[in-house]
Amino acid sequence: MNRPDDEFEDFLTRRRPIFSRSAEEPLEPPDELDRLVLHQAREAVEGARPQRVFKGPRWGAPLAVAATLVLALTVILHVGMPTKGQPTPEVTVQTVAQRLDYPPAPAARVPAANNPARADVARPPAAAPGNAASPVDLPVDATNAPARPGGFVAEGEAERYARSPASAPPAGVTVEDPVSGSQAVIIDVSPPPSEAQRAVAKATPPPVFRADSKTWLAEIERLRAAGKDLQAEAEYAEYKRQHRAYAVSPDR
Amino acid sequence: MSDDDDAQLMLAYARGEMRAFETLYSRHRGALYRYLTRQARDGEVANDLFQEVWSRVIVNRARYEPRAKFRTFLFTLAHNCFIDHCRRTKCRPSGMGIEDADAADLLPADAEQLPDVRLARDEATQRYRAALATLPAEQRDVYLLHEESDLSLEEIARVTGVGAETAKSRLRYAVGKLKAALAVTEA
Repeated sequence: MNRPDDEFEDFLTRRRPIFSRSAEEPLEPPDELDRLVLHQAREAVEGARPQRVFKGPRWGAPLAVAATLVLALTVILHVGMPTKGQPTPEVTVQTVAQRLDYPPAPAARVPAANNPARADVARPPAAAPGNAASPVDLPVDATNAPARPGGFVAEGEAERYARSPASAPPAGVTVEDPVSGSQAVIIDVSPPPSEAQRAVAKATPPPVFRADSKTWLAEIERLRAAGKDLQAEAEYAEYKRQHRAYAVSPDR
Repeated sequence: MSDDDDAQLMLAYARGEMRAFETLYSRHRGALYRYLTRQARDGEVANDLFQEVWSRVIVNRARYEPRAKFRTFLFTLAHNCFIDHCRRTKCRPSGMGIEDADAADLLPADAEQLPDVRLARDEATQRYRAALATLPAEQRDVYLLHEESDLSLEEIARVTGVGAETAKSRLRYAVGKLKAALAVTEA
């Protein structure tokens, strides 16, 4: 007769089942459940496979990168470097608006006091395009610019002067920028005259009406009334230069 | 059926071989389903738990390491799923009565068609399931794991999170109570 412990040990080692019913019950999951589980397993495996975003040939991606680099480099070279056919702007806004510090004028022979033909000797020579012997050490744009009194002009005016030096208005004239429509007054802030200029100026006696402010202003008014605007403006500019404290003109 | 083979199949499935999973599934689907059905004693709940267990296998396939038998891994998941289900539904795993509809579902499809044979089998099944339902949850769990999973006592202890001696004691009590219950009903 088997003791209960022996029977249990047999049960543990599966040598003898205590109940015979368990293995006989054909308890199986429904087919629908099998399909669900297998479908989920298949989806998980297929979804986890990395899908290539770029489906072209293997050399396609490196080729595209190289082509992009070449294109970008070409654009940079074409945009960044000026071509030979493109003329270099002679005057730029920066060079015009910048106060140019002229070095001391070279010692020039003082011309004869009554020789007005030599009066332009002391002025900075109008540098013709391509003139290699520039008297002062200026930027290329500045040296190539037409000779005119220094000062500040509007941006549009600067370009216009650069193209046609003859059309540059004298100092003191109000000009209108054709591009922006803003107005700017050309004031004479030219560098201090050189020794030669001073000598010429000393040699030329000033007009009589400049002796008195009232007569000077009256002369300016007279010139304006006579339609000699350029002369009037020149006199007015000279008046302002000599009367620094003078702020507003009588008619403005 | 080799346990090493099961582990290799699981590793193969983790690499993307669907055929490996199908083999693995066909090997363990019956035992797992029986364990869950007898634990839950509700066909719908058992189906849900069955699907959840395999979902966890699928999701954790990349983290699977063949340090233990695949069967131990599978039934640990099943045990935890059932415990989670009991916590979610706030049900007490023990003391639930068996449902007659479940017993009808458990009839063998290929049984002899003789009425007296079928009747005798039905009665035996119902007695067994009724006796099983009277067991405390811990004892029933250990007993079903031993019966259905084919795990050793040490592996059952690992699945249930207790010591081997505790598992053995629970199994001993479960077997004793089942024998007593079946003897009473037969008498």
